[in-house]
Amino acid sequence: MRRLPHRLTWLALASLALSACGSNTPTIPPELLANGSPRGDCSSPDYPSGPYGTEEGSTLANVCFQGYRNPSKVSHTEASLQTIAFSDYYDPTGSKGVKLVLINTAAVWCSACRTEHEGLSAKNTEYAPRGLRILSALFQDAKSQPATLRDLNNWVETFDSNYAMALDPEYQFQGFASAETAPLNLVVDARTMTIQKKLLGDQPTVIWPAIDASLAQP
Amino acid sequence: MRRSRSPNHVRTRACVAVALTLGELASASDAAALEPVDVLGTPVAFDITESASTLYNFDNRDTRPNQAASRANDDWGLFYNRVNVLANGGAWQAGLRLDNAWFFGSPNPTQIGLDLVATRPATAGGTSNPVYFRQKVQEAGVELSNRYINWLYPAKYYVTYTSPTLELGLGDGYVAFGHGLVLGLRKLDELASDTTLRGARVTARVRTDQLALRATVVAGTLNPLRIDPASGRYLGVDSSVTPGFVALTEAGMPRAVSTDFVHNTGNCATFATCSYAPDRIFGAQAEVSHKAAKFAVQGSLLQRSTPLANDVVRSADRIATGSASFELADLAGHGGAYLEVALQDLGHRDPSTPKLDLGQAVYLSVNVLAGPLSLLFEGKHYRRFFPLLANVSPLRARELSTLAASAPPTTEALFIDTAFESFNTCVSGGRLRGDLALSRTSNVYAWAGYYESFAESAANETCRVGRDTRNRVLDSATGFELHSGDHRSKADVSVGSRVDDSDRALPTDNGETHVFYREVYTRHQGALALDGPFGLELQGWHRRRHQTVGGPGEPWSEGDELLGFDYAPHWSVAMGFSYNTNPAVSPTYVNGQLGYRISSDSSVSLFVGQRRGALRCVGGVCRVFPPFEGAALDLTLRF
Repeated sequence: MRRLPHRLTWLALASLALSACGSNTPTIPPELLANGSPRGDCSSPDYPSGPYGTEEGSTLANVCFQGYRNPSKVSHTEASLQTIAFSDYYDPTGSKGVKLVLINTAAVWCSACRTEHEGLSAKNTEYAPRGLRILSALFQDAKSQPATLRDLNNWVETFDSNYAMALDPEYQFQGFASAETAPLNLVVDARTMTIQKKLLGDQPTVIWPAIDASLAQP
Repeated sequence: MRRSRSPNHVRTRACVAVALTLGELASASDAAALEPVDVLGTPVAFDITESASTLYNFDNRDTRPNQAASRANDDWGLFYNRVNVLANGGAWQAGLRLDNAWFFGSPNPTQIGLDLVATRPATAGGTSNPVYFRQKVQEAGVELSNRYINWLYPAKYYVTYTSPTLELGLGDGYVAFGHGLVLGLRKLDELASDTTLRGARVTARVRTDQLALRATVVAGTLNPLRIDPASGRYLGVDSSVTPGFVALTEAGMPRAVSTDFVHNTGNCATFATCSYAPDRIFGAQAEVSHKAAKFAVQGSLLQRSTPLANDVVRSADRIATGSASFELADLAGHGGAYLEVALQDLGHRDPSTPKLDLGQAVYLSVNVLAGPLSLLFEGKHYRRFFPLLANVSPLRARELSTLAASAPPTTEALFIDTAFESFNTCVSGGRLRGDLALSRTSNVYAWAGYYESFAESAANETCRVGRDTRNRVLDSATGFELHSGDHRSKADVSVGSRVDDSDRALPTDNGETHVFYREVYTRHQGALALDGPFGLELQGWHRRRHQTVGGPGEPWSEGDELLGFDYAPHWSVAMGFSYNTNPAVSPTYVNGQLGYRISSDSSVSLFVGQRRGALRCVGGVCRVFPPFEGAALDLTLRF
């Protein structure tokens, strides 16, 4: 009983503190509410319309990057960078010879990403004739800062990349997976741009049989 | 890079934290023992433990440009309350743990979008600011859709009946079959982990003059703690993964919720806040023992509902694991030995996933005592032998994605956190530790471990053994322990190293190398009793590390040092300092801690300052803890 006055004092102070609590709503500047459009060179009127999503079975929104379509065939300079968009791989009629796209993220600090890329050029050589295209986006350097052209050049030279390799300094895949869970692998049906498989980490035992099975379908 | 905050925002959170702190202190110091209550003629003793934590995390300094997730872990506050009620009446025991998380502060996705726009690095050809802003608000909204959400749920409950020949349990219980190869559900306070099997268990015992027989059967669903107070993330289920009996075990547990950014698809596989699908687990063990010898066979069957990840373990619909173990607890007064041989079979419903060969594991432990010398050898040989990873979506709840229902022994020192990737799933090797008592108050020790892993520098779920996948690891350490005659003062100092080489040349930016990982470290822990009620404590771990594949690309140092001062029996104060020269993280961390022990079971402590993020491991079970910067008040009262 002797403690009761102490408790009441504390509770009274707690109530007082709570009563002083306010609310918070950020104000959005008008310039951010404008109908800003994506980069002009990324728009593709033929690309499947939404709704878009980030889970298996949903349609992939079109995104574009700066990168090398085939780093083994160009000089690694800024002048050789090209705009690469998901829409480049969209092939509803099969006229481009693309059946599947493997979209991959990579970061310099990520050991699993490096392990995965050790064997990716050989896989590209093996699967490209069957209709698979590989696009990888490098998003961070060794210090977890946005990747630069120098990082991209180091990467493609280290791994002798012969598949499309792009820079993604703004990490446009955040909606699919957090950066720290890299690498992200998306197997996408090029006829519809729907996500068939979504995997985290380097999972060759799962991903390549799935690609085999998908490519075997008419 | 610090976020700009509105003054109201900061004031709101700060004043709620102050209010909760005052409220928490108001309830302190009233701990008193409860008298037994008569229930149907049986005296029932009640034991109530109340644990409350109030914390506020400011900017934890892990912000990365363009990353909504790195800002979503700043500026949040939590009041986390756990009430444990235990009733003990003769052969019967019942318990309930009720967890309540109330987040009195959390980041705002719009504010995160604004902050990211304000700190956006210039990028050639980037999207316009309005598009970037909308994209980042959406990302932040999804990220926050299963974080910082208030819940009150029955974390654990159980009723048990115990007699010399029979044990019955209904509700939550811990299970350990073998040495964690088959089933290992336990509580790890160091990792804030407490996983049980929610269901039923029966143990029967029979004793004869020569033999003791014991048989145990368990069935239920995996029940981890659903709220992670370190990240504010919670594990949510939905009705698509809680059919039949599982609906009963999941009654009252946190659910996946739809938000402005995530809509309910009705299917946990595609519902972006549905991060957990409880696995059904069945297990049995039969054990026969004669004097110091014990033989046991045990098995477990894990059945999944909707797989929430595509890796080879989490995508398995069914994992069957069985083992036989033999233990000699006494080798004629000179130690003991333990051998366990296990098999594992993964079944996948998806026809495109290839069938893996049967997994195998052999674990051996031999302890030899010879006068002042004691030797411990632990060896292992694992092929395609995986921990029973819980069906947690690593995409939606990455902080909790290492939850597992088993933990195959690593044979390494408990604190080792450098077995990278899937090191322990395809490995052979062992470690020998020797302790030599030099006198009554001093001893020296050393160990050396050698391992060949085929799943560390290469993704290798099929466990292909060859030079192209092999890493050879030498782990060694030596140290000494001193203590005073009354054991009030003690010191333990050690130095160690890890040399990890890959047989195949690894491509790096600086050319090829066979060096995979290198580390040297020193650890120390000491307590010094001063005159009267005073005492000093010091503990630290300092490491020099080099990871050639991934990591920061150059060697770095990191370490922690904690200096504590005790004023017995009530007060303690400590100062901590940590550093990390890895350029990807903040370089220094300082904190202070103040503790007051109300009684042997009740205490209150205050932490103020910074704590670095780290991978923490206990016996091969690891968790990534994010950095923290703020204040935390913890109160434990036992009645």
